[in-house]
Amino acid sequence: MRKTHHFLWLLLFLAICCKEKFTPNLNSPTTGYLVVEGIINGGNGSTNINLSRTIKLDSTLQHELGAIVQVEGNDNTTYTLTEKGNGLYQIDLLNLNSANKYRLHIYTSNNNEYISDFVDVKDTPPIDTVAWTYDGDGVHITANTHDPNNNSKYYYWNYEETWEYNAPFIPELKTVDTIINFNEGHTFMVVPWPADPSVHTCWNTQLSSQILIGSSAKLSEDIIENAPVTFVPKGSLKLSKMYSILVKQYALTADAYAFLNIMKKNTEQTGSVFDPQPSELKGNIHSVKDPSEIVVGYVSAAKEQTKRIFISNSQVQNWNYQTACQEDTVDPAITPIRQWVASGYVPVHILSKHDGIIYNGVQTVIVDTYTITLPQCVDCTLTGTNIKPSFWP
Amino acid sequence: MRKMYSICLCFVLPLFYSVAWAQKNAKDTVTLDLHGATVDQFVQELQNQTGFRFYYDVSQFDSLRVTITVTDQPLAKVLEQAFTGTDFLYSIDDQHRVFFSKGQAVKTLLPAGLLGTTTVTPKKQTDSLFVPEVEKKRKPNERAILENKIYEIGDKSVDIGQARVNIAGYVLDAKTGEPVVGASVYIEKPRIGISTDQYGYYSISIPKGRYVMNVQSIGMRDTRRQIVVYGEGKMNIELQGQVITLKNVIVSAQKLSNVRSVQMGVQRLDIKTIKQVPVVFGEADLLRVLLTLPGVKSVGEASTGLNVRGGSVDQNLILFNDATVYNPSHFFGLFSAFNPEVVKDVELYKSSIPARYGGRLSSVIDINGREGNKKNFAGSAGIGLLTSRLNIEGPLIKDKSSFIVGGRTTYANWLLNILPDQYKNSRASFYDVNFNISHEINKKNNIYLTGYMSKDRFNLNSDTVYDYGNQNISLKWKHVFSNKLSGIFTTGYDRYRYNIQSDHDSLTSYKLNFDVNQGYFKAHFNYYLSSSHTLEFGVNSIYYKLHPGSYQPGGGKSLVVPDEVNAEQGLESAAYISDRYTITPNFSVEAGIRYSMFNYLGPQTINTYAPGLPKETDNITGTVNYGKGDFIKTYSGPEYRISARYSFSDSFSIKAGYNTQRQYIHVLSNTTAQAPTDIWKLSDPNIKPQYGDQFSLGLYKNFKSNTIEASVEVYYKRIQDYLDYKSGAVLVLNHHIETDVINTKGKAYGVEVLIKKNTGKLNGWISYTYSRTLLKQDDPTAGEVINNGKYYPANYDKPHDLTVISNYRVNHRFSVSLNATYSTGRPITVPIGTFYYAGSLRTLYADRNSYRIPDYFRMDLAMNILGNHKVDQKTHNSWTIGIYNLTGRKNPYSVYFISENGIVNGYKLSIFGSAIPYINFNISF
Repeated sequence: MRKTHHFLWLLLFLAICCKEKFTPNLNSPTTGYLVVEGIINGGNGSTNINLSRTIKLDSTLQHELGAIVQVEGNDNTTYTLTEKGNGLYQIDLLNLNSANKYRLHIYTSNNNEYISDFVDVKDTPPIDTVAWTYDGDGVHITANTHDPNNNSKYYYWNYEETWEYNAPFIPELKTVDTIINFNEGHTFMVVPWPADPSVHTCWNTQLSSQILIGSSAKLSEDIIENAPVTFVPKGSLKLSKMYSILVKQYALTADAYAFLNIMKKNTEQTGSVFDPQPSELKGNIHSVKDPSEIVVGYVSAAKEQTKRIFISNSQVQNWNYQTACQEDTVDPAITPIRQWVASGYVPVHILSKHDGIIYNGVQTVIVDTYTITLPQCVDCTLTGTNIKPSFWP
Repeated sequence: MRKMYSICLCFVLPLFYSVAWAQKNAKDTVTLDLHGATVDQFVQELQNQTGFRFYYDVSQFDSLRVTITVTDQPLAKVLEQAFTGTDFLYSIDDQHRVFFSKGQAVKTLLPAGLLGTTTVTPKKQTDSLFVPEVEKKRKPNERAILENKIYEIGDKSVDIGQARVNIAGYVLDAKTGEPVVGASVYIEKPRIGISTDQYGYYSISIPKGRYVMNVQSIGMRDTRRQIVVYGEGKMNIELQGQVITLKNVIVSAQKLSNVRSVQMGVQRLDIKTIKQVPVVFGEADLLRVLLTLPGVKSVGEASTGLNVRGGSVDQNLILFNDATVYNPSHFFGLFSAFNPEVVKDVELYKSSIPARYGGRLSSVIDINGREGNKKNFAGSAGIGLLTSRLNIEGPLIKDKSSFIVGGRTTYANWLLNILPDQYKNSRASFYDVNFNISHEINKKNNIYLTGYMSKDRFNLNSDTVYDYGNQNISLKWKHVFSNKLSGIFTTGYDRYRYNIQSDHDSLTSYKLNFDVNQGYFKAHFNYYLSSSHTLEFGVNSIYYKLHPGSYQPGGGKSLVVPDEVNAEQGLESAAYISDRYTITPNFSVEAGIRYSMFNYLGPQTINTYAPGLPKETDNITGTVNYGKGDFIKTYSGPEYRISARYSFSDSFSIKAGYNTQRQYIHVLSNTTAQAPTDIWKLSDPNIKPQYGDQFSLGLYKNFKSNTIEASVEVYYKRIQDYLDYKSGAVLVLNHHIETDVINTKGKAYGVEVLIKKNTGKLNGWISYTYSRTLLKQDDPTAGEVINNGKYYPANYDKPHDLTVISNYRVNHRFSVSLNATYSTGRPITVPIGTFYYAGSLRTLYADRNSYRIPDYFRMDLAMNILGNHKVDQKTHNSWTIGIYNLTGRKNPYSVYFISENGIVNGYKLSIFGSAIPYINFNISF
């Protein structure tokens, strides 16, 4: 992985001042080729196959619905996956025989039929460690593995990151009604807020969006040392409290690796001066009716290996997470609260107040000055979930 | 007002007689400081100082403007200086009378043979009082110094019995003794002419008799020699550089080389022109100046790789003093590898490639280094923002041998330091060194030893260090067998290598080495058979040894398995002959044939593939091992080089040409720009040689007394078996590289228009090219079919290209250059759609090169400020101040799409996004 031509980036830097967003007006044709993504998981865990269609530039994702997806062995075994919506087809725990070869067989709702080539089930070695280092820039997370049998050589990783975080502010007050208004533009009704702890602490999960591959083919031993997985920049919310990453590892065939490598180069590693032409992506899935039809994807079969680690904020000194949330002081005398609420703001802190009327049996306060912020700064469920994941300590 | 001289004399003489004769104390030295003086002012001054009398036709001399600064110089020398480069002549008689004339000198003595036959002239004619003094300083090989002196060639008492005789010699720079290349030497009536070769040597066959021999060369003053030819002989001619100019005298004479030569598609640029053109960072760069010529393009600013008439970068033969330079760029292509201080000129052949060159399809770029000053020690130094350079030259034995050594180095790290933090640990540096020793053993033998070395090294804030360099050495012996036959024998060794290594020790640290080596021998002969036939013939042979990749562990911890691709050996040989046949003065033909042969040599292991199936690893039927020295595969074939010229008039001609080329060594690259780490590969049983042919036709017309040259050339070119790579090709350390490349066909055609003004206060050129370069891969058995087997534009296909190079000399110390260039954006492959895969939207590609990036436009400005012009001072200095990309336009180098954080973003990348000012200080001593 290190062998990629780093020097190509030097010119990129020379040009760094001169790289700018550019959206040419491209008249892309309607394509709608089938896209098949997923690895037949021969080990623990489920097999997830995603079906979608290629789309025009700037149009929205089009899932392939209503298809029948089957895993077939060359021993004539057949396993049918269940459609889970959004183009996801799933089956739990396939117990595949490593001596056999398997393929994917897809019947789409428009009566087309696609089959992949038969592939071996690669026996993935376990992940030795998911390591991390913290330097001045942030936390670098890497994977290490080895195969004592020297059989794996090509590896693919993806990951799920999960982090716990707090909403930055615990508000003291809440608008209950704006109908009662003694003096339009000057006062409004709030009640003291009994801070709701359920919207203060949340978790968020994010999946990898880069193609992570590595190879030991040029080494005398099948060892992968510090393959980059992801990077958490210093000050990121992800490590403001506690962070966890689940790395999944699959061994690939040389062809599957080559496919992902081309896709990575075409879509992630382009843009330098010594720029290779985008290459044609040739997968191993074919239309039965028309073999020349383009189908994007390469079906592999491998046993999945996973490893999860946790990193807490206390392990990274001077992390310096700074919330982007701000409190702005407002004076009802100048702008009525109604206007702020209408523009999506919520009140946070009272700076000065006096008692108001009893409203619905509650003593209200009349706020003279107070602070406002955006709702996601007081309610973390707007950006994540407040249901603690089962694996969280 | 074309009155006869003698008549004018009658009018003028009495006028002066009365004025001038009064001064008795005639002295023969003068001190002058004139700037743009008219002839009257000039003569008045001379007359006052010398007391000589002057006679001239006012109407003939009214265009003369004299700028001259001399102290206590003899009158003859002053006049010579004032008139050099013009067709004005003078004579001085023993009566202290000076006669100015145009075209022909006034005879002050009656020739002894005047009463006899008209062609006989006295053996030692003295034209003036002062000539004997000049002649005392004559060198043994009799350099002709004066234009109005009559030279006798051959012994008039011996009748050799031939109608035509041969005259040969060298044309030299009078100041430095360096040869003048490409000077045209000709007589009129009958019109017979020849150009000097790269050693300044000429050989011309003319009938016996009396002639005016004209000598012209760009950058030098035209001169002429009165000769009387009795038999074979030698005559060396010295030309004066145009250092001191006669303002407003348009020394046009006949700058007709573009109209007259048989060859077409040839451009010569001398270093003076190259230095005038503004370039980024102010470092004169001959490859970038070549890019301003019609038919020469590149993919973008970060590449010095040239695409000549639709050829790829590896189809150019780049020769630097006969040595092949495999990588002509430094610093990612921002600088060319040639130090401007040691370069004399560059010739680009893009159509009629002479038969003596071969081995590349598109062009020959022949760069001639300077020879050292044979008379005095001299040197120069320059300081720029990124580079500094120094060169020293001088005689080893005065007038016999000289040396020149030049070096350049860079200090670009400051540039890297001001870049964003992520590059703060990057380093980049380069240097290059040239030397050239030339020695004249005797009149018939010259030897030349030249060497070149360059090295680049950089790392990019990563653990990987890149290092590449050229090394070349050559030894050349020029031998004159006779006036008619001369030979050049050259041997040398060229090497290009790179390596990539990690500079820290880890499990994956490695060292990758690659090199190309070639040893060569060339024997080239010129035979001046007669005035209508000039033959060139010779043989050459190149032995190649390539190490296409060695991959080794980079440290003690490293687990890298050593891997080495077998070394490749090959022998490329060729024999050629060509004849320049002047059928009539208006019609001449140059026809040549070159037979080239390539042997792929053992030891090697060759894969065999099932016939009719794509070359893929699945189709390998076996391997064959060959031993050392085995001839594994031989390719051979003839290459034709034909061109013809017909002149309708002195200033208008039409030319046509056809030539074919074969190429046995290829670059394998999947990058758009030429990268230093590209792989070179020899043809082998599985990789065929490339073959190309080209038809071209051109019209050449000179205007305004030949000061403006105009030409229009059209061409059509076909390329076969050009190597392209397959999708996902692995080019590094591939033991069966034939499985990752495909043969493609190409065609290129275009029109090139060039208008050039070489002289005058305002000079420069305008070039416009319309051209297309299209490639095709439609053979399904060869692997993948690109764009459904249709023609698609090559990466460097830029149909419209307009360049204006202009230089305005405000005065002798200050000149301004302004360039503008426009071209169509280059084609790129853009996505036709997107899809979602591995957590992100990603781009879907098809239709190679179907879109074009926005058009390119750039304007550059440079000012050259010279220090004072006194010829005698110890050092001369100059400043170059300029702005590259004056308008600050962000010219896109590429447009690309990248998946970031799950979505696809489009970007436009520009190499230079703003105006870049630069300053350079040069000093010569």
